[in-house]
Amino acid sequence: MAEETESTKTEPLKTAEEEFKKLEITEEEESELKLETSDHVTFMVEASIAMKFGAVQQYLEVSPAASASATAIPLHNVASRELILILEYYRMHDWVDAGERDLKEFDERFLKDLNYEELKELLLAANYLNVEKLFNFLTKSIANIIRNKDVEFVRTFFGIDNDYTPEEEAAYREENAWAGVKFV
Amino acid sequence: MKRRFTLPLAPTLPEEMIEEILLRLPVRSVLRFKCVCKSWLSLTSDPQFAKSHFDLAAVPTHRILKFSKYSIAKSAEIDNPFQLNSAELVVNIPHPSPDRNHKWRIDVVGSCRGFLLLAAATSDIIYFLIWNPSTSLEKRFNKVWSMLPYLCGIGYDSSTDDYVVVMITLPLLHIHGRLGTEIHCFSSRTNSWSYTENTVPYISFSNDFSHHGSLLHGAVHWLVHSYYGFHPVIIAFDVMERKLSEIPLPPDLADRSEIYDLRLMGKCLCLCFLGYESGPAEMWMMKEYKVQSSWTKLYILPPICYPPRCYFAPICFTRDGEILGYDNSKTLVRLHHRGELLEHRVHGQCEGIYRFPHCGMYRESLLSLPDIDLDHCLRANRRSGAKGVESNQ
Repeated sequence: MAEETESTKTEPLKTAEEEFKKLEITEEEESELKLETSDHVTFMVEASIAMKFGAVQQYLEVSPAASASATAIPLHNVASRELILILEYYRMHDWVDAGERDLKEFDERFLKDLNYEELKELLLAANYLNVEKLFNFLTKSIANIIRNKDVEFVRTFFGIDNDYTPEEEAAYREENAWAGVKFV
Repeated sequence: MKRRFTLPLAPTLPEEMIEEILLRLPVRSVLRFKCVCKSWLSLTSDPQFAKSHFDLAAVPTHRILKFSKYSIAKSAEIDNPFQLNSAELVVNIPHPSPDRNHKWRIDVVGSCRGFLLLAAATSDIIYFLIWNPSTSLEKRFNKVWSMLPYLCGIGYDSSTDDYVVVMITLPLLHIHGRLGTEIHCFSSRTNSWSYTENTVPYISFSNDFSHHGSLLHGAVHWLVHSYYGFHPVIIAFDVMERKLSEIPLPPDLADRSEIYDLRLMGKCLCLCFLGYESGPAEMWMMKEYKVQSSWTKLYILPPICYPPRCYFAPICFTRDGEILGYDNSKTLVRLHHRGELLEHRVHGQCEGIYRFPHCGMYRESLLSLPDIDLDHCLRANRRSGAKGVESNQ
């Protein structure tokens, strides 16, 4: 899926504007953008997908020349492992033939393969890349994981130190006793 | 599913991402997680967080609150089967009257954004309480009253971020000289009542003194009788525009008197008829708001699904399209949309056939009431002068 490449493409330089126009018109001959992750892996990514990343859009606004695949767009806070996952997610959700059930199945499988650390790493990457759909999906999924769990689990999950004194915590739990009922 | 779970788990998420996750939790999880750490407490106690949480509505939870005995209520989740442990909670009801020994009956007369409006009427004063059962937040106020039947409701004016309580007093049919219908509004921002209007008279629909208003599209709705002609009609009070209007009933229902209630079901106005042994429960839904031709006979629940000598009074739909309602043995009943009995649970007392104001429905929220706006108070007082404003307490 991810190709580590030295660019073999020899497309003439174009302005970003022309590039965008071309994107809208021709779908078969899709142009690609070169992205470089924090661990210095280069990916050739379909422009239609890369342009969904807010960070890429922003980069191209500042330096439009990068849309020609000669220069790689650096993604400082995304490792190749995360980018592979993000591309997998977006390729599936971008696929026109994917039905609602396929997507639901895909999402479930996608989550299943991630452990808690990976999930949080991916959320950080999605936030940095500014990819709304995936970000919402991940925050919702984490919320689903913790919603019925107890306070101790949540502290461990997020690596949070309890800064209440035992008395304060007891008082608080008492106050919210009816919200503390464990439910499945 | 394999999960590795070591201590502590890297990486640490920054607060704004934690907030995004907390916004997608149901209300009761947020409340429970207030004691995770102090920064979570302050984050989730912020009124802006409560607002974003309400507006995002990632996991909205709806509950029905049913008084079981004096000052105690049971609250059940509408969308989950009653058998689930979580589905039912016992809640203490605060009394609208500041006098704790007060034993006047409490009615639920309105519901809006997680708040319930409770009322307790004495012979000359009605005590009100706006109450958020999820956060226990409450606010009391009262109104002088002259024993006339009244309609009540609560709505939200988003232009001023204000919760507005509407109280409409109705004339009695055979007493002359007091023909008007008086509309009074209480603003929680100015903390005062203002007298709004005296309109054409309507007559109370049933023998009850108080009537619960249903909030839909920014207006509170009640079923009443027209004064002249005595046919049933729905009236709607727009909370932002402060205007009263009429919504016509289906033409062939206009002279039927066995309508028992106007309800909000599936975000539509719905007229409910009691289903007795002799005839099935019937429901008419106004599928498009304020469009008379959109009234549709929606459900006829066959009485055979249910033991003889029972009636069934629908209350609401669940997310999965089941129907929740009461029968005359004081039981909350969940029916399949075709009318088969799914489950039932004794859920407190019912007083007589028409007495359903003892139950209230609300969507759980973390919202608090906005602060009292003192400038606004002064302006409002000046504007209405001496004539209409009753000071509060």
